[in-house]
Amino acid sequence: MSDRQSWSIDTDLDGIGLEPSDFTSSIPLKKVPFGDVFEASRAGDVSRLRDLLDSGVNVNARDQWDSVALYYACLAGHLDAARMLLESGAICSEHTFDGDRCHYAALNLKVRKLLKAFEARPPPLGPLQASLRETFLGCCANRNFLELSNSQSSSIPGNSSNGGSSSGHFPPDVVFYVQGRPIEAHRIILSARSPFFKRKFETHWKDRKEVRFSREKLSYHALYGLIHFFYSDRLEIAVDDMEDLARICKVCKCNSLQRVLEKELIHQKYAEYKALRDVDNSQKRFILQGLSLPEEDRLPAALHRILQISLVSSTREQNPDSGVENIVSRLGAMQMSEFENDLADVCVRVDKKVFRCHQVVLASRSEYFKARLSRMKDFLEGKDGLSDYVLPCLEEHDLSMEAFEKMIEYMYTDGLKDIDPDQAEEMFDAASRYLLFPLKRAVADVLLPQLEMVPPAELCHWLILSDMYGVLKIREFCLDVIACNFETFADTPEFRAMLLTLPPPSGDSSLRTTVPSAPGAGVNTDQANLLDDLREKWLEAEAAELDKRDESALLFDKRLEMLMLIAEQEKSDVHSNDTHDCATETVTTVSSVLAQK
Amino acid sequence: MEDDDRWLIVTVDRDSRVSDRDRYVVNVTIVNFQSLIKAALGLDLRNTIILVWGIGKTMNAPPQLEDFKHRAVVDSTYADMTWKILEHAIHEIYNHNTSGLCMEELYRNAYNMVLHKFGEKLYSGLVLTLTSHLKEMAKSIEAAQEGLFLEELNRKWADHNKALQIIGDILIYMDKTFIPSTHKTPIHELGLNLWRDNIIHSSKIQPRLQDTLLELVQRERTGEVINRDLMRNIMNMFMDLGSSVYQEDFEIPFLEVSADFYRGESQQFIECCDVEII
Repeated sequence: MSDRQSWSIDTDLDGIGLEPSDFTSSIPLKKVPFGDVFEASRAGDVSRLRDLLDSGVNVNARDQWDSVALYYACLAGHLDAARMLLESGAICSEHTFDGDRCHYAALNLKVRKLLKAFEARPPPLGPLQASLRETFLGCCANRNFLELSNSQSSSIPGNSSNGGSSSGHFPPDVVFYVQGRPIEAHRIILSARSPFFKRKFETHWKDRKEVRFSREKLSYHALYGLIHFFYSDRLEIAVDDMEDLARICKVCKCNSLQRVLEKELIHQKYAEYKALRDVDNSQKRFILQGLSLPEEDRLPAALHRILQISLVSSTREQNPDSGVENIVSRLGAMQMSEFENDLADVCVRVDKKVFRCHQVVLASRSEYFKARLSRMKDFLEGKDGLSDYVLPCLEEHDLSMEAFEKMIEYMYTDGLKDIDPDQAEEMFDAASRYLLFPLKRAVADVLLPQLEMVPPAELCHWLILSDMYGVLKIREFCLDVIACNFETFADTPEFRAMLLTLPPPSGDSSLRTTVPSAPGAGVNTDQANLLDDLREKWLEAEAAELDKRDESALLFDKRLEMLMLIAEQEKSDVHSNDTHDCATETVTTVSSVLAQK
Repeated sequence: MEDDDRWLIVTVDRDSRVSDRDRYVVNVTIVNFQSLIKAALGLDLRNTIILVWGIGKTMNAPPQLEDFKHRAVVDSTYADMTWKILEHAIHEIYNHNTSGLCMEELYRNAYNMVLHKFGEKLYSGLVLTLTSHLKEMAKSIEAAQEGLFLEELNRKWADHNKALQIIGDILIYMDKTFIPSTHKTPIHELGLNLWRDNIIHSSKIQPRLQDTLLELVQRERTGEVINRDLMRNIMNMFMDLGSSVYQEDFEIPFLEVSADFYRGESQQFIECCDVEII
């Protein structure tokens, strides 16, 4: 439900050679609201497929027939479904077992064309890399370069869809001029990735917003490629610029990247010898994925180091009770830590602890923080006596510092380590509140094994929560368990109490009918009703043969009604017992307060 | 209050910002209630909102499944209260008075409303509030004097856009979750549509706007200097509202008038230049 936006189909079809109209099917498709990824791909049910991909299914998994989801989408000729799978990283190279089958099974030329187009594309970036890359490309100067050099081929993906009010980019804090052309960047990212930049930003370039390189030898394209790599963990550079880049890497002390480049350069030399005619290197491009570097040289590890340093300096400012002295000492600590080398440029106060963070990371990962940081001047911020803060300070309420720490750990590294299942609920809340939808998936993965052995009452609790926060994976798990053990749950008072709090099953008879949905029958999966879904699951598990399914459904509805009646009864019993004295107490309090006034 | 014994008074001092969490605790545990009231009374009461709300539902509710520590016990009165806060904020935003607002609090309130299934209420409330503000703007634009009409329109358009952006930022959560899943119009687009319907297409403004623009064009054709920036802004506004608005409200009448004008010009030209046919 809430993951909808985290997934966007980029509308650039250049280079694929297909029309947008090819992606909408001409005939109404059957919906499979409860199918797995293979069924959804075969049926071309894009909304279900998107839900599944959002909830983190392995897009390259094989089913019992050793087939991948993409195979079914190609076989049935569902271009939109196939594209969605490809954009989520489905393997389609003809040299692989799965990819070869997909090519072989492709229903028509359009599908083949699509596969061919994606064969040449690098696999999708992780959420962290993708969002930082978007921030980098969001800076006007960088975008201009991209548009100039790529004007004939594809444009920037994922950008056309997020138009509207809040698409404003996050401003850079340093600009480099190389051969007269600007590259905009953020100090923290460069410092995290290269010791050279870190030292420079601490010393010579400390207060500079602009750095001009006058040396003619420094190649703009090479530096641009490197900085782009710093943000996205993906290097994309013309072969001609590789030598320049290797030199820059040496200066910047990016040793592992330098080694890879030098090795590749030797390869290129041989390739030239072997080639029969002159190879035009200006057209050839070298693409390197972050994965080919050792783990400590990749983006998440680099940001993790930065985060560790900031967390250490954050703890120092912790003060349990806020008296004046503490504020003074805290201010002192702040001033002292200005010279810390964590390069933090914003403080976030959560639950009495002040976290030192980096605006660019917060803003790239969360639209909320992006809006918040850009609106700092408009709104009342940090006006409560501590406005002398060296760093701008945000305040977040209703969140424990442990949860916030986990959340920023995820924001910086895309990883989630040692999370306590007790924290899961708060993490779900944080993930949806800060619009960090992939985090929900990560938490769900941690929580799921825990749910195998919880008592029914607790499972009901998780069902309600997962429905509220839109955690599809957990919601479906709970529904499955309840459907398969329905009578056990019917005996649990908590389950019956829950029934009363849920919206009633829809009275819409078209939804009620259990005839397997006919092609084109729009099952509205968007406004999911828990009880409707539960009925569906129950029918799957318990119902009689096909022609009697309607009767079974009726039976189930009767049973639900009965349970609700019991719950109603129980509730009124409880009510008559103990609300009475509560109410009387309230009255006395209210009257005493009024009297005081 | 005497006729119903299930009322609870909670005072929340706005300046010292007793946080929402405390407010909910009051709602849940009756025991803490008395001390909180005392604390609130001890504070300056001038800015204190006294909120009275029925807790009938919460007290009668079945034993709650173990509660997440900050989760609000949410019922329709809570939603009413939260909406009041947000509505007030929207008024302040339109009055250029955002410095007293706390974005974090507003965002959190809007988030909680949507999370607890009051998205519909929030959305319809937003539509109503925006509409009422636009109606007011329409009045002040209508009242503008002849020469200042376009300036006023342009200024209000800028105000509206700015306000819309801030409101959009506060309501991002609704924009990302509730609106797509219920197939409603996204906030930004909604704001533009409401502007179009209430201002551009209002019966008093539409003909006047069209006449003013065409008159300006006419004046420039006769050699006067006009404010081109203003003209450009108005045209951009038309384009932002969608090309159909631009076509209907400007392009079509403009082309007609142009055709007339140049027909006249050419006629004149032909008449004044005697062409001798050899």
